Amino acid sequence: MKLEKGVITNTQLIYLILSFLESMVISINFSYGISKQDTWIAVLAAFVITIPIMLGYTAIAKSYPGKNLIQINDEALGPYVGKLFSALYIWFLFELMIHYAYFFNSFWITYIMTETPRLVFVAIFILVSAFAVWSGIETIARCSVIFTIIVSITVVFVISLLLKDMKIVHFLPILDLTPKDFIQSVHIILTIQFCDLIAFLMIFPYTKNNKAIRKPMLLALCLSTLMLLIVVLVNTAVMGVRITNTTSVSFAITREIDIGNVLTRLDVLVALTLLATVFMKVSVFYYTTVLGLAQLLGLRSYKPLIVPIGLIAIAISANLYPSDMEQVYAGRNIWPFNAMLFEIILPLITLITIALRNLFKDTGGENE
Amino acid sequence: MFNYIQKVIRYRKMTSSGGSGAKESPEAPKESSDELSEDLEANIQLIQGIIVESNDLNIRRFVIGKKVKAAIIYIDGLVDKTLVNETILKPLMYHSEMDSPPETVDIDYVESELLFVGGIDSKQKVNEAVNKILSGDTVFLMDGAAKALIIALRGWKMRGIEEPETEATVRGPREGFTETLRINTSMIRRKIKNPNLKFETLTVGDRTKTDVCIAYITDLAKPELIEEVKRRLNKIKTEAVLESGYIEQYIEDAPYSIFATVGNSEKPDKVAAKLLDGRVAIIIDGTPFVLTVPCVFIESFQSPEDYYSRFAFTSALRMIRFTAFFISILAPAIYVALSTFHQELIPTQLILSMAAAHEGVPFPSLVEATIMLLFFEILREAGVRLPRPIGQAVSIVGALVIGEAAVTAGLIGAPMVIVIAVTAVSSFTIPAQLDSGTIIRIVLLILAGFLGGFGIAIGMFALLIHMVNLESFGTPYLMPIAPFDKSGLKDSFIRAPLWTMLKRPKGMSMDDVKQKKPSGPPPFNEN
Repeated sequence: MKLEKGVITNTQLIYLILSFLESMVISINFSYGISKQDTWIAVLAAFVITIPIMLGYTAIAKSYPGKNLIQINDEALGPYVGKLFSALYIWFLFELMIHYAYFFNSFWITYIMTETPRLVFVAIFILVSAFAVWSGIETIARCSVIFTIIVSITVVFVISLLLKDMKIVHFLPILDLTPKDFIQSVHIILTIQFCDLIAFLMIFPYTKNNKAIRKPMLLALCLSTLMLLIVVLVNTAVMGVRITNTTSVSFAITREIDIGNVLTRLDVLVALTLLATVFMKVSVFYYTTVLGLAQLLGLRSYKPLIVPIGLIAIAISANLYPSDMEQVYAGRNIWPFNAMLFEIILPLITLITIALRNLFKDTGGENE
Repeated sequence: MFNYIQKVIRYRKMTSSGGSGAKESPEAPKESSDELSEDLEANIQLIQGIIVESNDLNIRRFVIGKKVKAAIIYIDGLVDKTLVNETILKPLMYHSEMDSPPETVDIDYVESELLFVGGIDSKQKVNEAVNKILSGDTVFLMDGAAKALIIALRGWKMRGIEEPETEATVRGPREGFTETLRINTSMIRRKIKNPNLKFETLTVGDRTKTDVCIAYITDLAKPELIEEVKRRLNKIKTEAVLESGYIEQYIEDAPYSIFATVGNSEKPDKVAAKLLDGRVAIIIDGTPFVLTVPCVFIESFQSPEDYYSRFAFTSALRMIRFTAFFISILAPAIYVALSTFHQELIPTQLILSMAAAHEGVPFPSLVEATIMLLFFEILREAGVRLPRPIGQAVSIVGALVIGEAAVTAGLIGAPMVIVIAVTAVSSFTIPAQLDSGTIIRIVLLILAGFLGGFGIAIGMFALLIHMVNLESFGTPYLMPIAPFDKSGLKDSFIRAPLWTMLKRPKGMSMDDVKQKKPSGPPPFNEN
């Protein structure tokens, strides 16, 4: 039985992935401190590594068209191991959701409304997100179109206002970092930025043409990498080595904008745009979490899970880290390894199992 | 679990309404299914038994050709008396003697030879005849005939065709719908001389028996849409339909939403344009407001005049309207958010003068803005309902009070007056969203007062999700924007030249048929 009746078109899927990945503009901040002005190289390297991983994800989805990750696990790995894998994936998606909910508001609390309790932001944010999840994947996908457009316009607008502040010299010296730092930076970008897309294995079956998902996925990946690259380049060109001083660069550079003493301090504008991107991300993770859990528990609808999951998420997310510095430490040193398990190792096992199954099926056919 | 709770709630509702169920199932007028008999007096008795003694009911008994007794029954004031005398009474009483009548004068002979009227129908059921009498038709009964002739000679005093007050135009037809259904349909028919234009009439309202007419073009409107409209109209259980608003509230998709998912218009040209897009119009007797479904958000920003003027200026106007809409819902909220939370966004010079203006004001900006908005809404309401001269006086007094005196007295800061004035003027740019805009504005204002920019953003997200979620008769409410439709964008934020708009709005009509053959660049431009 299908838990989600909505169907999204493949074009909407592109927009959904785009708006999902746009929040990279914030999460790239973990890398600046490590790879400094060479972050753009790390982005390119991570992109190159991402492509085979994405092909792996789409291969998993394609071998069971019309099935979501939980169903694929059940079929590929058997009922017991499959259920275990599914539970792990769901936990991971939930973890991502609460981390992003924390992430956005730590940024908001640090820079804009310093005296408001974190709980207020998290609670309201998850509440509206729950509304989106309640409305289903179609609504989220339709919203993503608008969010993508808004974010793109803001990026272009901010970049054009910053043109006069950019200096090529800020990129120098190029590749002035140890291989360890470079690998760490690539690793962070890979696991935190790109491979979050594992969540889309839950969404692919609800696309109209769920056999042709590779093209929209790669297209969206390329476009969003392009955007990320532009943002990183602009950030570096404006900030230079100062890029390591702040925890939110895209936000900090808009403070540099000063056009004729009229357009100044546009940081709130950027903050709102970033809010939109994180909103999409949290909504997608929220949605996939409740959908996966409903699938795992064999419910008829995922809607009864929205409120309890949301409440748990609010409670955890409001108290996730004692301070933002610890969050940055965790983001740089712990999270990439945690995420690697779910984003690379588990899918790899699934993929190998599927391949073996196909192999045995073929040979079995010959023997008969 | 939720299903169980829902069931319990539903059960409670059912049992609680059972007590006051009398209102739910109103006593319908006696639906007599009696057939007419061959006895004239018995038939008249039957009809008099249904229609209570009322002095506008007119029963005129007479004799045809000195042989057969007959009678006509009509409601005084609903029929054209001259015509009744000329075309029914005169031929029946006078001509019938001059000609050489056949041996037996029966009702078929009367119908085919004697009556000088175009619209004649015959009914056998008493209650059908009674309904026709009440609608303004004249009923002819005669001895020896077990049926009644329904003679359409309606005629009553009505308002002439005037220019509608709600949708004034500079360029374009000036006529507006009136209160009479037939005239309204004729006005649409005159715009669209197409054999496929179809009108279908239903009766809604147990007591009022209001005629509700569905209009559509058979090869443009989707059959599912027509079926859905009919299904919803037939499901209406109400005593009275006095205005199209009644119907609107019974058939709309999202009755709890602040957005209207049923459009209305007083202008035949607008309704004709919507029919040509594949929409369905619902014309209700007794009101000049014609409903059109499906209705999407973008329609609020389109005016028929857009298509009559040239495209560059119209496109600019469209963008002005969108800007005005956003100003009207966001301006007070943004002002409050800026002055309370994000002062750094305001240029230094401006914030200094704003601070100076706010110096002696005793309230925080949120309270200030709320008072001003409330006062504005009161003024507007007062101005609308009062007779025009008094209404103007109220507006002037109100405007003076809030504009001048409140500032001089130091109750309200001058910038706030500007913000509210801009908001108010902007909100009048899009009359169709006036009601929803008011609610959004106040909610966003409160959110901004408590959470600043974050509150506004969250409010807008929630609004967006809600709007994306809405559907009007199967068409998504934000149609050309989300889900995204490239060809639909030609008629949204801009209005592309007419010859480039070859397709009907997506998701509404039968298919994406070409509206007309691509005529290339405009004529007279070939060299």
